[in-house]
Amino acid sequence: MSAGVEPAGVAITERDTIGKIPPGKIAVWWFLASEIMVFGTLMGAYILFSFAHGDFAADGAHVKWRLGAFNTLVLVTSSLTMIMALASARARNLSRTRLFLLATVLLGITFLCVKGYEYTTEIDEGFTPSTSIFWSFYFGMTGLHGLHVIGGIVINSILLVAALSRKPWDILERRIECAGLYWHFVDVVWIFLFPLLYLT
Amino acid sequence: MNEAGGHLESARDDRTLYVIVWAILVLLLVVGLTIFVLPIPREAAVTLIFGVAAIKAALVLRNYMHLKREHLLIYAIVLIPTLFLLGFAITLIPDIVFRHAM
Amino acid sequence: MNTVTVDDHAAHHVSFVRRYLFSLDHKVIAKQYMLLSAAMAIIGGGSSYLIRWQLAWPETSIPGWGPIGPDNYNALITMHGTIMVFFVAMPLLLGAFGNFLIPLMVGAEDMAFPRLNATSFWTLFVASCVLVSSFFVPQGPAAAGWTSYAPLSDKAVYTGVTWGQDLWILAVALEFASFMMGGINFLVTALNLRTRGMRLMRLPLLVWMEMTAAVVFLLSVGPLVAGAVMLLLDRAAGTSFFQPDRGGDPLLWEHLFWFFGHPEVYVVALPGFGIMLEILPVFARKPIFGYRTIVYSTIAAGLLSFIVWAHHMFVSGMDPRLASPFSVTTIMISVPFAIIMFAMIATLWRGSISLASPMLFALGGIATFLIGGVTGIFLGSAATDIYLHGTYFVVAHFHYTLFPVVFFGGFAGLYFWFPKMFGRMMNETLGQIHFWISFFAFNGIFVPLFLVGIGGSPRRIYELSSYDMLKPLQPLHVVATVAGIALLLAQIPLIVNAFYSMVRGPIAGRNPWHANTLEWTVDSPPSHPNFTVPPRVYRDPYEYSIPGAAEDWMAQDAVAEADLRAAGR
Repeated sequence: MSAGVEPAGVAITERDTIGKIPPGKIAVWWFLASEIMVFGTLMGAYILFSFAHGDFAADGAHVKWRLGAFNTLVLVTSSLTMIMALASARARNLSRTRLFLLATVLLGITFLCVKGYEYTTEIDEGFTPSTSIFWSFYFGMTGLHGLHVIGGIVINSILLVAALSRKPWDILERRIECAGLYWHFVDVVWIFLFPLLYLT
Repeated sequence: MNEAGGHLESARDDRTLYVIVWAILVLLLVVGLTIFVLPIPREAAVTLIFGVAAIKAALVLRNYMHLKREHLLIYAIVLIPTLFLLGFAITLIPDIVFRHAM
Repeated sequence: MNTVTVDDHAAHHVSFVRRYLFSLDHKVIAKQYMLLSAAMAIIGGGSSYLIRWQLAWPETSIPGWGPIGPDNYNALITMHGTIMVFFVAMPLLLGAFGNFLIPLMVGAEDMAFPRLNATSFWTLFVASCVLVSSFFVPQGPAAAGWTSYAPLSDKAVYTGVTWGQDLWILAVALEFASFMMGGINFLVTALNLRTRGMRLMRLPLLVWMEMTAAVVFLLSVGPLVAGAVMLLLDRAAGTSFFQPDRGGDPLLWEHLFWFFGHPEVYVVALPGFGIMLEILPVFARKPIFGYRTIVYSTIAAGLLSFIVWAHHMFVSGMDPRLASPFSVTTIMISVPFAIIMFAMIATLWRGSISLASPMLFALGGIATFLIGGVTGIFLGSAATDIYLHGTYFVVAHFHYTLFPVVFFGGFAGLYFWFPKMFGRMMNETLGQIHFWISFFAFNGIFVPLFLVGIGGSPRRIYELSSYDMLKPLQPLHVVATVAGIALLLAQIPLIVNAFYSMVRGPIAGRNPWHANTLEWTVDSPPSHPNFTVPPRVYRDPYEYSIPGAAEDWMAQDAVAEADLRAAGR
């Protein structure tokens, strides 16, 4: 066993905990709290700037909302596959767990491909980060979000490998739950980012 | 850990719920896009679209991230940063919106 | 449920690399943080030597270095501030003391996430390398101040610095990542891994302080991470977030920076107080006065710290209507800190005070922080701040707050826990010499600087001889520099003491100070595992000189005869 998986020493139930929340889960939630501050700041700044500058709508007309909508569908579906992976892990169904994890990874990659296509066409059309303050926000926010998607894909791929190599179920289930929390958060950020950048 | 029988039953209910939530999310996406393309005043459209987004986020938080079953501490961990952000953004309104507009 | 049994640790043999380099043991990681902060302190302290010499004797060649010009000066003050806050204060007070003590004090074997712990240290190490490397790149290191205000920092043409500023952003971002990981580790460990009987209100105050610092850091760092991303994009990708001529707003940077920056100083200060609060009862042989009050004040201070930030921006051109509310909140936040100070003094009242080195440093910290806190009131009130902002008064104020908690608090902790960390006692005489010279030297630097500031001298200016009105203040700069050199030299006894005592000091037992908290119940240094049997806590941490007790101290896990009888055993 490895030293980093469990609190070394005594099992959780013997200690004074708060609400008996497993340590990994509460750690991820604290991390998400910090991430809420990061993305929330960017979104808040964008909203404030959009009130300050009247021309955001004009700039915003050039984003490809259909592709953005498709990407929203992709990410929302990947949230479903992620939670189904957890449900399958809870039901101890190995093949379904692997399947859903793989689906999540593939959907994540799809999202990135569509985003990449969007970026290249926009830059070809002459819209770069330096074009205007709107485009600064657009590239900045979707770029940062995209980096988080990449991180999520990496984590989920590692989980997929773990599922393929038959890690013990309770470890796998907890890790999928924690990774799922992160992945759902990335989805929630996009749920707000999409209307913010594409539909207003 | 639940007992084996009840565990499988509730697991199946869970999975059904997840799919239903997904269906609602897709529906709400369509609703949002519909509002977008409709020729209604911009302010109204924006408000409605954000309302839709908030509902979608709440659905994901509540059902996929299991917030409805979680301990108060986790609610606090989500709520407090959100409140801080709102306060921060509101404090910045005089500076960013009113005084430094181009 | 996976349980790791105690025997496994004893059985396996680890390589040198795993044991000392990439150790997962919180005690080793703590020492790594300590060593890193010491190394960075040499650079930070060295830069302060250069700054002070330049100010006292402008345009001369600095012994051991050479002349410095205005650009070099700006780079020096930037790096001095950045290194001291992010790479000395935080690694020492949070990384070193937090890591070493939290598991021991709560009765745990290790942090909740040992691998994350190691990762957080090595991330900081990489961040330090990135920052130090910026000294050697073309056009030199960042020179826009530790606050990196836009648009000065936003376009390379304004400072002349190219790579250095970008490396600064990267180093600070990595440091943030490191402490985000560490903060989460601290919180989960302190909340989830407390041993039986260690109720929240039985936690040593240092743990409360570290927890509050962790929460404050986690919730405040986000906006600056966003800001750092925006700044980097402005510099590297041509975005215009902070460029007013292209639709951006430089004031946004200031808001983002200080929304984090202010809570950050409390992230540094609270653990420093925690260290002092651990030491005072031990060397006064008295319980802490007002434990609960201190806890509630700490939480209040943590919360309030989020609504005071714009007091750094009174003259920035922000909306003047924000001045009054932020003045009010800033004055408010002095209240919980005053309460904590009063509680500390009340703890001392009528105690059996022993002025050993740890206690001297703790008391020195309290005394100097009082000056820092009081002078903060002048700066927190917008009316007086209009005159004092950007002057040496501010410099003296924040050194009178940061230095007490980092230097005096940090060394108090070092002298106090050195026996536990290394199994040997430090030399008391050298400790006294270290303290007294440092104490007088420190005051000798910054009292003159208060006067320089009140006299109207702006800060961050490399050479002030062209301002006639400031000429009468020049002797004050000389006094400050002489004191500064004395302060640097005063660290020699410490270095000698620390390294000598590590190998040749008298062997310390488990509990040389007769203190109550759980770390003193284990070996010095703690063996592996920390606790052969998970401890069971029966009492509060500061039960000293309890009437009727056999000794003047009672360990937290000690069961008194009366309690046993009462429990019917």
